[in-house]
Amino acid sequence: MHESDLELTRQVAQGNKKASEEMVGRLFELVRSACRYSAGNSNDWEDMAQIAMMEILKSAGSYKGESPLEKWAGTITMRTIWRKIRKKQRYISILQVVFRSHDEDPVSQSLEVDVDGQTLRSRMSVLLGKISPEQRMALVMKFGFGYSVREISETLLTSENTIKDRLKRGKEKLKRLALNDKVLKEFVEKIEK
Amino acid sequence: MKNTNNKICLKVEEILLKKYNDQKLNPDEIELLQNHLKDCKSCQWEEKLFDILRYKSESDSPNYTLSGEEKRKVFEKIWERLNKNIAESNLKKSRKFALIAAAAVILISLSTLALIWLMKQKNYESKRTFNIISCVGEVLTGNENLCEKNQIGENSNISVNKGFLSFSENNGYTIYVLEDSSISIGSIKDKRRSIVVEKGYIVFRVAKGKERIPLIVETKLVRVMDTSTLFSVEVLPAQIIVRVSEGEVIVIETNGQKRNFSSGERFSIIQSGKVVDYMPPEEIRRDTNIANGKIEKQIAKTTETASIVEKTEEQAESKFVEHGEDLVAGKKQPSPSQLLKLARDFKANEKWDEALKTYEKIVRTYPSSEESKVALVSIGEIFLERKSDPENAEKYFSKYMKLHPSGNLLEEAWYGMIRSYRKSGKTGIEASEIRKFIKRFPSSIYTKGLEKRLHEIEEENDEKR
Repeated sequence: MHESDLELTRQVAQGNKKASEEMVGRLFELVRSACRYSAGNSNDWEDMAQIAMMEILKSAGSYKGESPLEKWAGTITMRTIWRKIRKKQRYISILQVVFRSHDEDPVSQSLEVDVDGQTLRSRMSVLLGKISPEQRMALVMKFGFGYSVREISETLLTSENTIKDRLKRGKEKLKRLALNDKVLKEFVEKIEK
Repeated sequence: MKNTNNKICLKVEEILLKKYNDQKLNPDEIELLQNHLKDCKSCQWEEKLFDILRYKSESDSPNYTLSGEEKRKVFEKIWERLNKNIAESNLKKSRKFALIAAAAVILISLSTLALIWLMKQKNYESKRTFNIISCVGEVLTGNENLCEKNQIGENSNISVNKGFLSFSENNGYTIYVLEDSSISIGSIKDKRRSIVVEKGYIVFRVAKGKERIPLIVETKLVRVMDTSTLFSVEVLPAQIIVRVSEGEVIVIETNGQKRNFSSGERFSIIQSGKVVDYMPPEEIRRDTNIANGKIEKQIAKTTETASIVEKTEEQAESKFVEHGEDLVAGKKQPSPSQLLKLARDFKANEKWDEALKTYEKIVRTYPSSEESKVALVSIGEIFLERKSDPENAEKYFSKYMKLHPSGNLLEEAWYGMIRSYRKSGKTGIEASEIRKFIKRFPSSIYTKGLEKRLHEIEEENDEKR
């Protein structure tokens, strides 16, 4: 049992502003990362992060202390993002895909890359934006936040086999994209040397 | 780049897939994986590529990491949005609740209205039979003699060839059909009971203030609508005469024009279907007096039909001799209607003791029958009027009132009771009962007489003081 986390969420559920601030301080970066990776190239990932954080604060009363607070918050974040993506997909995703397919990514075109961790992660989020939201969500949850196939399937309300399939195809696609990306290619070459 | 020709690389890829799919690896697979990843650069980069995504701490963020101050600002924004969001959701909830409550109220109201409407419809539906109050002579519906029955059904054609008939519908009104008259009881149209008068003289007494089906009397020339009243319609070959004794009626002429006529107005209608002639009110009082007395007998006897009624009574006596003896002797088990008929025959022949016995037999043998109600009032009447025994009369009238406080004959029983008090000299209770009666039946045919009597009692009391 994660007693201290349980106490914190209890206070948040009671509307304690200080506890809420503490919770936001602790979880917000994780939520932002999840949103940045999962939102694709959408510009509203910061807004999405705030909405996910609000959901976490509102759901504080449902935390039972059985898993670490970060994992519980990650699940809520992913669920919120998934809902948002699904909603958005219905209206604009087709248009975005059509227009983006001819866009050249400005970073891969012009940057003289200093291959540090931050840059690589940033590039990764750009590449993730080029694969389907379904595969992207599965990859982010699996490789970014270490969820099991079962947990992913429960969060995204999809069968385990579908998730496995999405992981396999998403992984292949991401590898192909990475090999065509200047920054990540440089990273690959460094390793091979 | 991955060396796809390398069999070990392909094997490792399989093992990695197993790992990603949360399948358990055996010790050999783990060893192979570890050893291969140490040396094979192409497999190594794949693992490292996905390791970029792995979030372990804030430093693994793909974004610019927020400072403490920035986090605090973001929190304030989130807090504000959260509170606003909660307030909006509460408002939505209360609106939703209000909407549901309003819908529920509307639904309940509509259901109640529908239920009331249905009940009213059912009420109208159920009122399809008419109780015969008195029937003397040759009164036919089809080939059947109505005087052998207690009830008349809806849509009956009735011909009173000799004698007279009176019947009522659920105590709402009483219809008196005099000799040589024909009527049809129609069904309910537009929530009104239609009575078609073919010929003859018909008197309508409509109870005021009671829930009843309104009447519309149809003749070949005009239609007469009641509005709580006592009136008669006489259909003659050349004209129709409508007499209004109390209250008001609406006459609809053939041209659709409506005319209201109040108490004391008599008019005739010629064949063109227009009101052409009024009688002065003085002449009407005769008719009113007729109505204020014992309506059945007096109407009959003040018309030319009186002699025929007498003849009918004679015939009734001989009829009684034929079938009455068997019933009294107990050879047959008489039905309540047979007993009532028999008692009426005794009454018509002024055999008061026999009539009393027969009425009492009805009360004793069939206490819950409709005939028993009539019998109680009739016994009271005989004790009061024929036997000069107001104490016994009071007993029977009071029994009826107790057993049937909203019965068809309540008015008659109450009136009988008041007269019994008068005969017994119980002036105090008589006055108080008169007051109650007038309050309950303000438009009763007995009311005027009782008001006069009350005035007398009060004057007597004043003199005594």
